[in-house]
Amino acid sequence: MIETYKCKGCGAPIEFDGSKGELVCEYCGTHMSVKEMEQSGEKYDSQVEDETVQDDNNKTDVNGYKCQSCGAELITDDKTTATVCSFCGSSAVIKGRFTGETMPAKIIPFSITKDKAKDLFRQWCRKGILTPSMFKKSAFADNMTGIYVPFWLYDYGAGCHIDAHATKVRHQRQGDYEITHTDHFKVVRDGEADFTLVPADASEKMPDETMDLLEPYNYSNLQDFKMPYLSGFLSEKYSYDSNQMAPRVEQRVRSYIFREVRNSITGYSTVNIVGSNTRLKRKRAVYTLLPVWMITYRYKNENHILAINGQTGKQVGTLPKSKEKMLGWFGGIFAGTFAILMILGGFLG
Amino acid sequence: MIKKGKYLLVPMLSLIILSAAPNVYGDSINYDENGQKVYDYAELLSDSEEREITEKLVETSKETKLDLVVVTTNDTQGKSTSLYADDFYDDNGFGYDKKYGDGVLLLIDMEHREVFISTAGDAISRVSDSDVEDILDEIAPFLTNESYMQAVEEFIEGIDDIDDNAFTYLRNPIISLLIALAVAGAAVFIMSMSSKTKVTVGSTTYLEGGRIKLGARIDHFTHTTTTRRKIENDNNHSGSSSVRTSSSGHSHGGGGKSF
Repeated sequence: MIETYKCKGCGAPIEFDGSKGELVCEYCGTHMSVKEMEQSGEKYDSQVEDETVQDDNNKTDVNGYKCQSCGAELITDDKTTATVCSFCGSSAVIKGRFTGETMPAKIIPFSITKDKAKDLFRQWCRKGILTPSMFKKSAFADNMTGIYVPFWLYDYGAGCHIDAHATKVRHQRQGDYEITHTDHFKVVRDGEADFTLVPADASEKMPDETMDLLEPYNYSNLQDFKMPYLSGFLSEKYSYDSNQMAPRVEQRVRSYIFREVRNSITGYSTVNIVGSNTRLKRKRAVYTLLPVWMITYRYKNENHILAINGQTGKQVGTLPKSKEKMLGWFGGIFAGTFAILMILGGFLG
Repeated sequence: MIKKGKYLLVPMLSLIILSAAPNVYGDSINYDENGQKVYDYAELLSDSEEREITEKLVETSKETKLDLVVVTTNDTQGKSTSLYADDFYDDNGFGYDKKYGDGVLLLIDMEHREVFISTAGDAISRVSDSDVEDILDEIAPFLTNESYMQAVEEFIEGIDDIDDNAFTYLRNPIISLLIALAVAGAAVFIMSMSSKTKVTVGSTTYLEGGRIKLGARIDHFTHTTTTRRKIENDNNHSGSSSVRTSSSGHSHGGGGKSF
């Protein structure tokens, strides 16, 4: 079952506008809140049945959906939950993929619009001294897509016990001798803390490092999930469940609690950790969709990903470096430094 | 080409500005590079050795802007070694910038078997007591071995090295080349690193309430260990120069050493 949200006023496909926080029809300008749209959604939902094609062997071709607006085949894979028709540009939310466990609990809606994201990207490229000139052309930013990436947000109760040997050093002068007193201490610390909503991206396609660097998100805008938020964006369901992603998050939480408890040992000259152990208790995992603007491109036969946090605008990724520009700078700085050094040597040496 | 030119603009400009610098230096007025620089009354050096030393003295004098003179004697005319050296300098009106001006005199006194370095003018402060001591320590063994030529060469080298600073090494193009390579490499490396994204979450980002609850907190004193270390007395008078007055009333620095 495909959901294409349509404008109440004119019937055109209507999309979520991040800057306004509601759905806006780009043809007639009609505004609708997400809640309104969800409640009235049924009325505008076309009644075409799930187009899943079943062959004689009863194998399900999950990729077969038809666009509600133009009838073209929607190209999706089995994780896609929201997409845009490549023929008519209508948004399509695949409702059938939001059931039970695959239903997100929370969502942070996009607050950065596509235009704003393009602007950010252009500024970013302009800053890069070594960025090849082609990236500074505005057209490059056009293939940017907005994706709601599936995350698990975990709550953990954590504790850490640290045994340490610490010293305080005092110096004293007695005639021609310097006397060093070292006081030795046995130090024990035990601390507990709760860590809330620690994110881990649950999508197989998204590189973990890039997603980690997009943090932090501002959780004050964490909303209950409603499908109309997805209108106009891509989205997919998680590839890994909360148990599969837990070890990654636990490693982070362990290092956090250790660091915090370790930092409570203060006032010593040296601290040597003799032993430590951490305790973790998972309290809950919240399936959440987080907004990301992404550009993927090939440069000199290498794939690169640039991502922008769809809520805060933080930019992640490595801009490609132009070998020519690097050489130019290297040569220029080398020649300049060499000349200055020789002059200094000649006059001051 | 236009782009390359842009990168070279800064070094070019600095070249032009710095090349104007030498005009700031005034030229000497008293130094005579054709005058006698070696007075070998004790006949310790051969004629060819004398010529070679004179050449080196003149070269080093021009570089250091110090009048450098070498004297050997069997008879100090009843004067002490230091007074003979100081008076010899003043009586001959040595000095690079003016009479009794900047210069250094090396006296090999065979009568008292003492070697003496007398400094004058700016050389009193430029060549400190510890510099003099260092040079004397280097040349005394050669004098004991009657290797007078080598002793004088050591003296010239010692004076030449006195004004050496970090910039002197830059006169070596290979050292400048290596430094320039390293600077350019580091600069481009930093440029290429700056496009990396920084991690903006830490251990407190997701910490509920922003702080941990400490349960056990023990700081138990166990024992004290003590070490004693003798403080080395640094009696290095590097940089200072003691001053005497010659018969003619001019100031001289420096010192001597027996051999």
